[in-house]
Amino acid sequence: MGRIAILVILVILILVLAYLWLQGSEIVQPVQFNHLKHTKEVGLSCEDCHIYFKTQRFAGLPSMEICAGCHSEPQGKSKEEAKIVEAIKEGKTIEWQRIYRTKRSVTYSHRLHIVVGKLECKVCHGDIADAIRPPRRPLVKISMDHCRDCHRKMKVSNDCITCHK
Amino acid sequence: MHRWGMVIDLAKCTGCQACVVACQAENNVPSSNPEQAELGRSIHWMEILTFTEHEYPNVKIRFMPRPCMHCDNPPCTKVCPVKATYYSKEEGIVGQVDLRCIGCRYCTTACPYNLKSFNWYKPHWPAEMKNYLNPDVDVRPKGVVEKCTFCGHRLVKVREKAKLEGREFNPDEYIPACVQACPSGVLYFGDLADPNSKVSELSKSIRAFRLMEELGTKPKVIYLSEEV
Amino acid sequence: MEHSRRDFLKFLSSGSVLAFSGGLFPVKFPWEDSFDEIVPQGIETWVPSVCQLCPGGCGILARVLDGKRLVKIEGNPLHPISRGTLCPKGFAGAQVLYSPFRIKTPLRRVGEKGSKKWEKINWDEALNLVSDKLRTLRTEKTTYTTAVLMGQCRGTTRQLFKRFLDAYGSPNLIDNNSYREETPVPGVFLMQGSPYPLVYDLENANYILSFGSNWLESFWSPVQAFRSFGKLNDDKRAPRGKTVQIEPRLSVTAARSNHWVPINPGTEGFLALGIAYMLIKENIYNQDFVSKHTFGFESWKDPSGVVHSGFKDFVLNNFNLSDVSQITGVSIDTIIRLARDFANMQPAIALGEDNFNLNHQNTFTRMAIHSLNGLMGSFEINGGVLLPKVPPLSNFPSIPADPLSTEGRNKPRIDSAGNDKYPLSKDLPDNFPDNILSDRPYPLNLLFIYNADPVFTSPVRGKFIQALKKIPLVVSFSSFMDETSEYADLILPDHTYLERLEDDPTYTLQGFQVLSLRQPVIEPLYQTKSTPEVLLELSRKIDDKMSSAFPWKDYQEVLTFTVKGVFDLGKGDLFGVPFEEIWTRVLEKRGWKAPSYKNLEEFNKGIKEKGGWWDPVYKSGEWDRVFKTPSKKFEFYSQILKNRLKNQHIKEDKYFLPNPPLPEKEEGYPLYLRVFVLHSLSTERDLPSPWLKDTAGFYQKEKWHPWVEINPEKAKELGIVDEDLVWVESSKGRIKLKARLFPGTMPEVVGIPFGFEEEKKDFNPIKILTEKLDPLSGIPNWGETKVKLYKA
Repeated sequence: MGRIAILVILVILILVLAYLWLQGSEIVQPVQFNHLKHTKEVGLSCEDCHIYFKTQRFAGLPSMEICAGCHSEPQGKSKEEAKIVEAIKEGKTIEWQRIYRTKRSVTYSHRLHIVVGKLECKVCHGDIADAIRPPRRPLVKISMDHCRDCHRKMKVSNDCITCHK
Repeated sequence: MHRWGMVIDLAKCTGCQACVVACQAENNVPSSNPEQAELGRSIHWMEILTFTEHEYPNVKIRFMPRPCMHCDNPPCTKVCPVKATYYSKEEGIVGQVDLRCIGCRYCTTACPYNLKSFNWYKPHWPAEMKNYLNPDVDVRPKGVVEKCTFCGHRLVKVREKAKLEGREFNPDEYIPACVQACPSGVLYFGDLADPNSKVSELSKSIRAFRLMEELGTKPKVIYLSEEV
Repeated sequence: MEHSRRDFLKFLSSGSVLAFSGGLFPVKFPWEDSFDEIVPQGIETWVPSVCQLCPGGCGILARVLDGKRLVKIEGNPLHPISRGTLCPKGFAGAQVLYSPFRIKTPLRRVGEKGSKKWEKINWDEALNLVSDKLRTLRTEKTTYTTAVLMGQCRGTTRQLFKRFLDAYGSPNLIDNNSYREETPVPGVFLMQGSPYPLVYDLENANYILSFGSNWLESFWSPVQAFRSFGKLNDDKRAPRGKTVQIEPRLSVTAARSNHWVPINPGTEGFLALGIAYMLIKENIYNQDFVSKHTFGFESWKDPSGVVHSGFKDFVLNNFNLSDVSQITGVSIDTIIRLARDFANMQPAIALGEDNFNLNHQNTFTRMAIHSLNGLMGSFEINGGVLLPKVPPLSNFPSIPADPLSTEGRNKPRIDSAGNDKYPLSKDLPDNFPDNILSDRPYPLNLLFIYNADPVFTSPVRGKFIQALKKIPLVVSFSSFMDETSEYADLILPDHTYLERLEDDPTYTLQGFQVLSLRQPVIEPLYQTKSTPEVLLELSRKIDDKMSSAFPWKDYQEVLTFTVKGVFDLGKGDLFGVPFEEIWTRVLEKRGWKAPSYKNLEEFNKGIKEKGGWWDPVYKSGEWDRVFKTPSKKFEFYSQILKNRLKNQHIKEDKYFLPNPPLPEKEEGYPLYLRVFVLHSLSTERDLPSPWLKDTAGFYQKEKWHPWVEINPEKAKELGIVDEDLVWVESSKGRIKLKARLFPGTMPEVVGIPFGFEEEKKDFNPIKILTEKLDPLSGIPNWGETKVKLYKA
């Protein structure tokens, strides 16, 4: 009896650990950036800061020059903004952390999906535009099934070579 | 439906290794070192095989560039338990998704051309050299099998380009790195499904032969013998 | 964090799972060995530039991400030399640029010379050290005790080096390049008199008779050679071009030729004259050409009534087939067949070696080979021998008058080039160390080394090391710690060619002029400085006289000035503009020209964007230019040699005719050593590229290390089996190598590849090569070393 109990506990433990591991870790941004403020109050579009998603395969995290376009002087009293203003003044770079990543061997082209596929950012990135603080995990968990479903619906090739490099 | 294939004109090959090095530069193939080389563990997706025939003074060395044969009936895909190596029905390319590979090496054994390589070590680049890694191609970790993909990423790229420009994709745009590199014009590349393509035409040449055809692998790499 | 199913399997199969709690995730397991990095993407640009890993001059396109990461080098499809392809070295440029062995800052020697102890110093300090020395020598009026040892370097940079020494007051620019742009091969020079090298239109020839010229492995422009080989063997061409390789070992060139003719080492000249004998005897030489454009074929009586023996009688009397066959080991049948094929398959080319630093042929052998081109009249025709022009850069304004520099300039050269001992020499890098060690003609105070690595490439490397130790200040501009730089006092590291701005004037095998622009594909990675810029800076630091000779702000300004010469030519066009050669020629003859640029500004911009300029027209039949001999003809009987040897009062005619010496025997060393160069490593410097080292010895399945090739029969006789370690010993020394039995080696010959380098492993074959120099030209002869072989 005891042996079986130990075995069961072990198996459960392994499964729990495996689950946690597969969940991955949380990502903490250096600045608590408020997307909503920029999109709703200031009226910026995604492209204003992520400047490459229509022209390159990648979307691009904003460079300091882009931030400096407005924040070389403080625009408000936010503590988080102060971090950016200070970084600009000192010529430092803020290392934004990527949240959305495809798996290692997957190739994904933003420009192809946005320009030709007319995909909305929301489909993969969720309601990030309305987020008041940076999410610690991807808002949408993207799996290969997601990709394949959509490809099937849109009559795009589901051949491995289309996405795997 | 395409059946991408390569024709290799052995009469023109100088054995210069341009295809070999161009492939390594394009596909993030880890560079070897003396110890690995000694164990026969250098990885080459494209390799120039040599055959020394006869005795002095009638010696002859033959050179044979050897990429993946991209068989229409590949033995390697059939033995893969996780579908890491697959036959692309749309392109006729035999691909390898290293993310799926579990490193069992059944496929390396099944391949009669002995062209699949196993990563025995963690791929190593000195810090500076990581700069030249190609973002279009995955970096394979230790413990997986890798092989020539006919530079499938280049196909994806030119298709993407055509779509962005709103036009039909032109098969001539797609050239693997080795074919592009060859200074003496040994390598031809194109669609064997198109009867009018250069490769289709050459594949009917009187000099044309395929490697180990008798195994029924139906390779899409066609050699042209040196002499008629 | 991402996980693959492989990771998961590993995870499940491991017993150590329990050791980790949930809070520790994600954990980098100690056995986790996967390469998790995703290569970052970036904005792609393609920058046209020029390769410099050999003298070939291939146009490249560099794929650069975000303007700072060089990802790949490819051939520039618009470039007339590379035409979108490259050789393996071209691709390996990425490994050269990012090599961990690069020198990152100026270095000053701290320990003994050669002790490899260095300290980093900054550029100001380094330049001051040099300029102080240069200034001291000016005040002491010993400017001529400065020398530059120069490897591959051409165009404006070369002109700038010359001008620097001229203005400073030294005659000592010593060329140590294997393909010297401004020097013809001595044997060829004696017959044609032109001060520039020839090109051979390989791809349009029908028959290539190569006497040991390893043109598929160590040619000056490999990509053009490879392309020519492809064209010769193309289906479109019926019948295919034929290639014959006459060589003591089965090189890659021999393996790929239609016919390999093994020949006793050093007797290529005899075979050439045996073929000449047949051509004359059967009357199948080009009589029209010989009568119109050659001198010294028939015997003649000079004005003073003395009868001179011409080439015809000389050959008929001395080189009958049975003698030639006995000397060369080539059967009479073969000689007859070679001669008939050579005559019948026109245009045909007789090819000898063009390399200076890895040369196996003495001057007379080379003359004998070239005489075959004279007999068949293979000059100035498609598929023949051409004399290209170099794109004309503007000449610098004359140097301000300065008695001190004039005096220094007129001193004898430190390498004694052109002296009576070596009357055909223009540069004598291999005589240089001898002179230094004996203070002849004067002691040297300062030596600059640019792109040269003689300790690696010269058979007199031992003396070079001593000489470098003796010279008070040795300054190296090397980007890498090569063997020569190890003996320097100061290293002022240059950019690699991928970070440097430079012009690169050269030509194609069809004789077309090409001017390419080498531009930085990325910003310099380290604290390195372009050497021409260093020269400009030094000139400003020395004194007013020097700085007035260099009125340019920076190197870009110098380049704009010199490249204008090509614009002023008013011919040719930028790369990539469609060019109908015949039509262009017709138009040009009528005085028309319509280049794609309208003014100098557009020209300069176009060169940057397309990669360069070329003129796809070769004007053939300028005989005065091609044959610059006293007779203005191709000279079988060299009057140039006669003039140069005036002081020696030689009466015999045979000394001025192609009269190769018999190879000498050496007691106790029964085997001939044949050092050869593999394509991947054919350069004058060690290339720090794992890709190349891993592919170099492919046909022996040998990687990274050299080996010694032995004929299997001979090996049996010596009791050596495959992969044994053996000593190869000459009268100079011995090296230990792995023996490989190779049926492509003649029984009396052993072959060793050159170009591998590894610290503390004494396997560089130049260490056992004879130090004897060719008597007329002073070029070391790599083919003259005899060795013995025994088990280690």
